Amino acid sequence: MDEKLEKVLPEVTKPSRYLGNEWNAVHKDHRQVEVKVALGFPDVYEVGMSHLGLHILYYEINRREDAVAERVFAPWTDMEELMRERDLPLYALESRRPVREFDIIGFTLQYEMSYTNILNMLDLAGVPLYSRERGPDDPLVIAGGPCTLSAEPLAPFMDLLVLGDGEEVIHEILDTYRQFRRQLRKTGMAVGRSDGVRRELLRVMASIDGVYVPSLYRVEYKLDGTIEGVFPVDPDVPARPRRRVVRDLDAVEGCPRPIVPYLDVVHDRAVVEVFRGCTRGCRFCQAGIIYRPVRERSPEKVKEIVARLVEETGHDEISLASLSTADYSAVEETIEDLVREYGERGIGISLPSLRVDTFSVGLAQQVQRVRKVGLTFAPEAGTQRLRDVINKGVTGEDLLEAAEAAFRAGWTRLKLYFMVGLPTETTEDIEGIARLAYRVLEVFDRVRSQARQGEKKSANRGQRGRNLRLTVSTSCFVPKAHTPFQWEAQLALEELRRRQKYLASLLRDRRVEYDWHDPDLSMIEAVFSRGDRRLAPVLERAWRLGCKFDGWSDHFHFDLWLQAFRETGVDPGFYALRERDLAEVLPWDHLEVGVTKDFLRREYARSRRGEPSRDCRFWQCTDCGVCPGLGVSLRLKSEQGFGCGR
Amino acid sequence: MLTGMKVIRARLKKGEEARFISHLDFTRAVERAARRACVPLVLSEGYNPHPRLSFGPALPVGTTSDAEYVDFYLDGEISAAEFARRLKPQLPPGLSLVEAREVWKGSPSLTSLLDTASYRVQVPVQPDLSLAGVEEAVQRFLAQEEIEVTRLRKKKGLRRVNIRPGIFSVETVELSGGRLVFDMKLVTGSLGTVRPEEVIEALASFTGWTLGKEGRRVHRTGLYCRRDGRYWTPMEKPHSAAGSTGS
Ligand code: SF4
Repeated sequence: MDEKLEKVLPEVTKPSRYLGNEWNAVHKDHRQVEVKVALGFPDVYEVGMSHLGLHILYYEINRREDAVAERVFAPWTDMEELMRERDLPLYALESRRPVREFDIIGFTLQYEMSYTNILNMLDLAGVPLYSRERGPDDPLVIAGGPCTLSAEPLAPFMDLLVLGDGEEVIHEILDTYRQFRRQLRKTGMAVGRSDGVRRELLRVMASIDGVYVPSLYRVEYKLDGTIEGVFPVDPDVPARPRRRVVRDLDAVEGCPRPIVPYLDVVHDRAVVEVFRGCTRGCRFCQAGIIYRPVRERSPEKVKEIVARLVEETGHDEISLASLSTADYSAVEETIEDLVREYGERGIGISLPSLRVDTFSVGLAQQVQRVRKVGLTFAPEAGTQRLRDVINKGVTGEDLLEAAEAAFRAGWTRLKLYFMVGLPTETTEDIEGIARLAYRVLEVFDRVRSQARQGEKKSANRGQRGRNLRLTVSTSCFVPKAHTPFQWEAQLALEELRRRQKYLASLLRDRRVEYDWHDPDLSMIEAVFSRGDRRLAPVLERAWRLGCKFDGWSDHFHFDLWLQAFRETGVDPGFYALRERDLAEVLPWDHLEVGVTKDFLRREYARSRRGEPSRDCRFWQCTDCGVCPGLGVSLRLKSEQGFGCGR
Repeated sequence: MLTGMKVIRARLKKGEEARFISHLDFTRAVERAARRACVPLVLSEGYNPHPRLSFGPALPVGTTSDAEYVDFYLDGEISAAEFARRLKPQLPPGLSLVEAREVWKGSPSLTSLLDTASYRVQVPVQPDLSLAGVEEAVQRFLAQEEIEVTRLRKKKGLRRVNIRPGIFSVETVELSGGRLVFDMKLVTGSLGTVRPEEVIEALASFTGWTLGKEGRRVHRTGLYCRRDGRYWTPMEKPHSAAGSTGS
């Protein structure tokens, strides 16, 4: 293995993707552990290493004495070619042992467009693709991450799926696995020695709260192609597997000892999560539902983790991560303390996402070093009417004030992020996007001329002299499972394109750059994000035709995907373009995320009336059902910061 | 210079495990190790302050080295020994600290000081060569006035370059087990850089030998300042007569 690899490495781009000897990587003797887990990330190293969830699981598993976790990423195409040519199986980075020798392969499902990479990795590993084809010596193939809550297209390939927060349930899975195997040993059998045993293991696993074993559920369809129901194969199997939720983020560590890559990865910094969940209630947003409720980490715990991160990694940037960090109730004091503590040592703080308001600009200004990279705001829609439909609690005024604050503070690069094809969108909403962009330009010109008048030889002169670079970026709306828009149709491709073109024709100022996302890709994403098990053959076919790294625009082959649909006789329009009836059984309805379907229906109805809804952090409970349903509660750590400076 | 600022020059080894780390990744790894080691790094000014470190000439990916020099600008009282004690355990696998010394007063930066690199190069060869034959051929090879190689320049395309002036020495160390081992000293840095691979390729085309590509190994054994016919390591102050420096 090592010898073959040594010969391959000098021939590939970025060989350090495949080495596994980074700082903080854990190397354990396989003979000293009982359970070996290969954590698979279905994308290239630089993407996977930027994902906090992977580091958390790696840390959680490796702090156990009885288990080891190693990493494996999708090899880049040049590496894959050589591996196939020279018979190198997919191997885990740390030990360089073939992945198929591990007990468990655990994939992260971060994005639907990485599904073909999962099949490709299983194939490279020499593990049978379908769960039912796996035999005595094959590893258990499991997956976690946000997509598992609607990953039916992957169901036949997965032995089990982990729903929700992984850092606690992973220990139960490992304990169960170990116990099961010990018992088998007593009776002289190996795990999966026969079909029956493998199935028995899955049954035992299915009783863990947060574990979903797809093969223990039968899907029945109606004549019109919609779902009749999803039924457990027998009464012992839980009817509705539930999402797991970590109640208290202070009780878990995050990852205080993350691996420090040699390579320049996508997010090259240490990350501390300040809270999980978001209840702002944007109606298109899946994360805003499936991570509920909001659970904040205390500032003390945040600072404690940061101190360890600094000591263990040597990174010069600490990112305060969450779905919307400006909403952290202790955000100001935390940033202040961290800047005071680490600023002098050249260690900066970064905020991954900003709200559209002056308060957020103030925070960004406080951490300063972001200034050179520009600011991004996401008003999402061009008119107040449409922003009310999607419940994006942002006004045009908010945006203009935020932009003004940013320009006054010296920023000259701004990015505005919108969606095209949102439910009820009209031409006027598209024009609204352009109108907002032009108003931002006006704000900039006003700020600049004022600054020129008021300023003689100020230090900031060079900065102010620069002209604005405004980027307007649009993506195509993709209706997602578990959201109030889960019943919506996606717009047809031609229509999405027409609207993008129209917007492009309106944005004709040389200071404005317009970039848009490929609607073809969004359509495939729309199919798979609300798909059912009948899409599994399409996925396999597409992969066999050569689809992989679909999320990388230069590797995405829409024609091959269409061919795969044709050859398997599946109509993508049924999934992407069809408006669902509110009473329809949806492919993920048997999975309990906590938020009730009733709440989603209510929100859907409100959206149609253009009625906004409020955030339960700053108002009262809006009855989404998650707290009583999963026995959890909203946890805020500080009274300060409510109202958010507005 | 700030008052109390000092420069500690360290020599690092880049071993097998780190040979695929690019120069840029190497600089980042060293910077992070220094931060973990809590040595008092001097930071640059500005919005995005970063530690002041300076590195010697870049090492090509795939090459190991005994001599990667780094200057650390430090603020405050820290001895070279203490510095070494702190840094050592923080270096990632494949990188190790060989020595650290405070540089002499007025030492130029590594990039302006260093102009020569020495390499040990191992090449698989065809079986019918003899050591004497190789040595003789190398003599003839070096006796040429011009040795031309082709270089691919980013913008200018292919270009012919004479590398003979940049080859200071090539010695044949041994021939055994189908491998030829050479030691060579080549120009590097701001005066231009000759890569050991180029010398091997030129030698192959001069002699007509088949020199294997797979299994070729290049190891940097030293970096020097060439002055008065002598090679000085950056740990010693070049001087013409007797007397030594360093601490
Ligand atoms: S149940 Fe109420 S308090 Fe809990 S997350 Fe839902 S809306 Fe907020």
